[in-house]
Amino acid sequence: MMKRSKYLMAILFSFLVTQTHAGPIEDQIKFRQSAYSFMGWNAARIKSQVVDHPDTFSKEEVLAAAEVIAAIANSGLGKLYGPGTDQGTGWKKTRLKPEFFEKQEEAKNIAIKFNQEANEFKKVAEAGNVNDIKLKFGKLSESCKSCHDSFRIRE
Amino acid sequence: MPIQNIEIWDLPIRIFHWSLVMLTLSAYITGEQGGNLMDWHERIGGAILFLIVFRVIWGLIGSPYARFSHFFPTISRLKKYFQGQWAEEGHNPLGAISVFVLLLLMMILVTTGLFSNDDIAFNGPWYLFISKETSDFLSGQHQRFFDVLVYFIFLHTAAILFYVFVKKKNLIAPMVTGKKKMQHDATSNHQALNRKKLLFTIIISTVIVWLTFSDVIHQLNPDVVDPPPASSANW
Repeated sequence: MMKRSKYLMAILFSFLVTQTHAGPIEDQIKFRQSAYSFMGWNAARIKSQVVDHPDTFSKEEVLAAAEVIAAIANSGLGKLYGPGTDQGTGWKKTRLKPEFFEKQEEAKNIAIKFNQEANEFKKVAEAGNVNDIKLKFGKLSESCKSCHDSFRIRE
Repeated sequence: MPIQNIEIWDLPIRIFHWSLVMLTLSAYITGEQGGNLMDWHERIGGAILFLIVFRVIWGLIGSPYARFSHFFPTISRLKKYFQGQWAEEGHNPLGAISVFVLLLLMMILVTTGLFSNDDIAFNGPWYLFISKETSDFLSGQHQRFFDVLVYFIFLHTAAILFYVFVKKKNLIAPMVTGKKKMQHDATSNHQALNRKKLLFTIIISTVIVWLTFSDVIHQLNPDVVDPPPASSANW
């Protein structure tokens, strides 16, 4: 009986671990690369319809894209930045700077800012005014850039 | 020979110089800010491309002091300069190296910028001609070479200040007014601005910038003109 509960504890514990961290380092890197790449598709759709070809603007499509970005931003991406994930290869080699782990406060602030911008962007997408969307899209992409500038290794 | 106030830097050169200063500064600000200013960063890049093409053509057919052949830093000119025997007007051989390095750096920045992307929402106008990996690489070089440019701009400015304060030779004023006090002889390089050549240079530069940003260039890549259709599925 004692032994059994130990096993159960072990299983439960390992389950908890996988809950906090998405898994081996490569998986974490892969998941986050996928997240950003999918956001990239949605950002491109928005830019095309709002900035480059406003005549093709479709509220539904921009909102759909905005919802994706907000959902990914709110999904707790930080969990994919476990210790050691500055080294390793997901779909490709990660470009995360080791400084990320030394400047956790800055990283957190950038992440919070990004979340806020993504959620506010979703709101203006719901309202559907092209000019407001464009303005907020600029703010949102600036928050992306701040992280690239601070924590991404230059090619 | 009488000493006269002679035009050494013609108007096109002066406009080129100071617009390049301002455009480089604006490119820096917009590039650092990112976001919606990236569109302006791209336009500024186009304007800089215009200036660089203009300067290259003007360096071949422009007024005498503007010509590359007039100040190209050959070994013999450099030797003369370092032996302290350089007495000619115009860019001295060391300054000439600076001119060519700065021009080359601007060319590298413009070219890498055309192929770049920022992994957010910006793709340069020639992004689709190359693979994502190559574009990422060139985007990194775009940033790196900007750092190199900043270094050379500091060097350039320091050299000018050295001339002003240590050698008591004001090189800034002639770049503004164009005029410089020098010995004048009838056989010298001074002549009126050739308007036809200027017009020709402006037209060629405009055409090159237009081609760079136009759809015409994209005809070279069928995928850009007729992209494989996206699904029209409504789910």
